[in-house]
Amino acid sequence: MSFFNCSPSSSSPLRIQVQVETEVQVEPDQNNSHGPRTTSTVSSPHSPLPQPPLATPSHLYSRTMSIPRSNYDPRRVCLNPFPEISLGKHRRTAGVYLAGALFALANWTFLDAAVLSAHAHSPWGQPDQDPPVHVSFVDWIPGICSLLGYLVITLIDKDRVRGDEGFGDSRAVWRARLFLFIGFALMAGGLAGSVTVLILKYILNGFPDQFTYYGYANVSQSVALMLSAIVLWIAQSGGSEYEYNLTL
Amino acid sequence: MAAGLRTVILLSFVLAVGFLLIILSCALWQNWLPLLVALTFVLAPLPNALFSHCGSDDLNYEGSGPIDLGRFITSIIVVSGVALPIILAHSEVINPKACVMSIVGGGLVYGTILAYSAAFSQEDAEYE
Repeated sequence: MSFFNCSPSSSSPLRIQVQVETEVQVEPDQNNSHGPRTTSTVSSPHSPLPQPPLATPSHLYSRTMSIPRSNYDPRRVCLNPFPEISLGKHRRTAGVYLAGALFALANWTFLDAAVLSAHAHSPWGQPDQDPPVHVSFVDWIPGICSLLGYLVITLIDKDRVRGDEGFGDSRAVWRARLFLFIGFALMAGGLAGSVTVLILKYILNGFPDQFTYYGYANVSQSVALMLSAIVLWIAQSGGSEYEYNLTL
Repeated sequence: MAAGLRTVILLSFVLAVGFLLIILSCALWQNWLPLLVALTFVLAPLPNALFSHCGSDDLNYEGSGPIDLGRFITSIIVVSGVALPIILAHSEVINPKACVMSIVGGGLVYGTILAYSAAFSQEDAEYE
């Protein structure tokens, strides 16, 4: 859009066309949430295309090269573009809220199992039959690993990992990626550990479903923590893309 | 002004009903654990209120780490307020009816707080 403004304004009707162009460009930013953005950008290069008043070929050349054509976008990978789900301004807010909810849900799921195990009592009428298994410290270890990994991932500066040149040195990027790797390894280790506990402690011993639930709660805690970390990462690192769309 | 007064009275009634439900859910079964729900939901808007002043600019979406932290903690507290009675009811510490009552009461309290703050901020924007 910038070079339209700096194009030689020798004739006034060309100016009017430029104004129409900016209006069309602003529109897809506002109703981003309605559907794929590509359909709205498709219409933008086509609307000024009938252009008899543009006499000089340099104008034509620059105009056709500036905006990707409707059926040829060089950034495209798939034949059918993915529907871009973006809530615009509120995407970051919604993502952060969702991540917090998933985080709380994960921990409460496991605490539910722990409280249930602490309050488990013998069945009615058989006072001498104790529950065969309890949640012990072994069950807490995968959750602690996942929480440590979550902390590590959350504390990393997102811009460092992307490796943008211009600030910091390359060793900072390398260190940030190392910490990111450690965080994800901790989370994956927590997930693997929870599956291990589920299989070795609960399923192989053949406990009834009432007690196997402890193991499933452990696994779902790790899965939800990982989902929460991913959602938080996407929500916090998506801001620059929105800025790019604004300044396009 | 009359409309604002009516809104305040209505919201206070809803708040009273919410606290009534929570206290009833405790008192009917002689088990005062669901009172934690009221505490949780009252504390829920606090992080947002604290951290919203830490943001530098409304137009700057990138450097709002404290705001994000406030929203994160708020979300955690709200989900905890819903999850706590469910867990207590699941392990048969409290009655399932008390669980439902305390959740509804807590939701009314939190909704009242949200509506109150929203109405006031809107009035401020209208006033200026």
